[in-house]
Amino acid sequence: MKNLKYKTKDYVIMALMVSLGIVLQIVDNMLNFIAIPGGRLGLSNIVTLMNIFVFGGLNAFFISLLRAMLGSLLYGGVSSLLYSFFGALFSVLAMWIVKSFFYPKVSEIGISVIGAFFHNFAQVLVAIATFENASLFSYLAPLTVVSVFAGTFTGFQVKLLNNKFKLM
Amino acid sequence: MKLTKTDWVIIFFFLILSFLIFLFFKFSFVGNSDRILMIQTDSKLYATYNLDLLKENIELDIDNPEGDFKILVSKDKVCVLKSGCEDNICKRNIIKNSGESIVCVPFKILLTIVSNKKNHVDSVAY
Repeated sequence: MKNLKYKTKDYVIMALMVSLGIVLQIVDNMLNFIAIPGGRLGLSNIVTLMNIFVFGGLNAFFISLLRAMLGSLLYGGVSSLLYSFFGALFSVLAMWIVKSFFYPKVSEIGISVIGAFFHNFAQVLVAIATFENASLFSYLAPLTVVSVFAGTFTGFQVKLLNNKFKLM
Repeated sequence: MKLTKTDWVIIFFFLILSFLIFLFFKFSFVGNSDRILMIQTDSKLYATYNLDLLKENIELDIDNPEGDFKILVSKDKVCVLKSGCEDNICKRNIIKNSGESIVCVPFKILLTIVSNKKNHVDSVAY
């Protein structure tokens, strides 16, 4: 499906992926049980990583940017738009690069952990830029621990989907 | 359904990285210096408090265009009491040591505790 043989059908599925991502993002915001502020499960990462496998990196890139923008406008408000946007940008680029160079060696779980880390890294950078205070970098320590666990969780989901439906 | 060897390397790499960042910020603030609370709105300094010289607990309303924001400043902890935003992530965080911070993304408010290595400043300085 990477060459987009059935154009209209693919566009419809991609649009559905955007909405699926937004729904998961909203569910994610409700499930705020992680004690570390700002730590989230990153459920919409499942959709992003799945898109990289199904539609290829470039399409997944635009899907997740669209998802981040629409999702934060619908739910989080304008202030979270920058965080969402750069989080999605960094994480999808990192996952795309790692997937295309190291895929069978690094499984879905490793890719997902890297994506989760870069998502948090980008958001910390945006926070440093808005407050002009580099001490916020210390926030990356707890967030990285969260991203390892959350990334393993979401990567596991993608692996299950991949084994079941043979996305590749 | 197994993790590959590289997966484990990645996982341990990030755990170690996180630990190193933690250690770096832990030890860059040690010493018997005072803990200074810095309150920032956007990128501007709003107020500073010296937590070690604090005589009594202070409840402070921070003026900002978005809505109510009330914090508690005391010797052993700094936390957010009231916030007008709906997600209330900031309320889950309580800080007391140098290098720790509370961030409110929607209101663009930042509370950080830093250590001063030079002379003592007044308890309140606007």
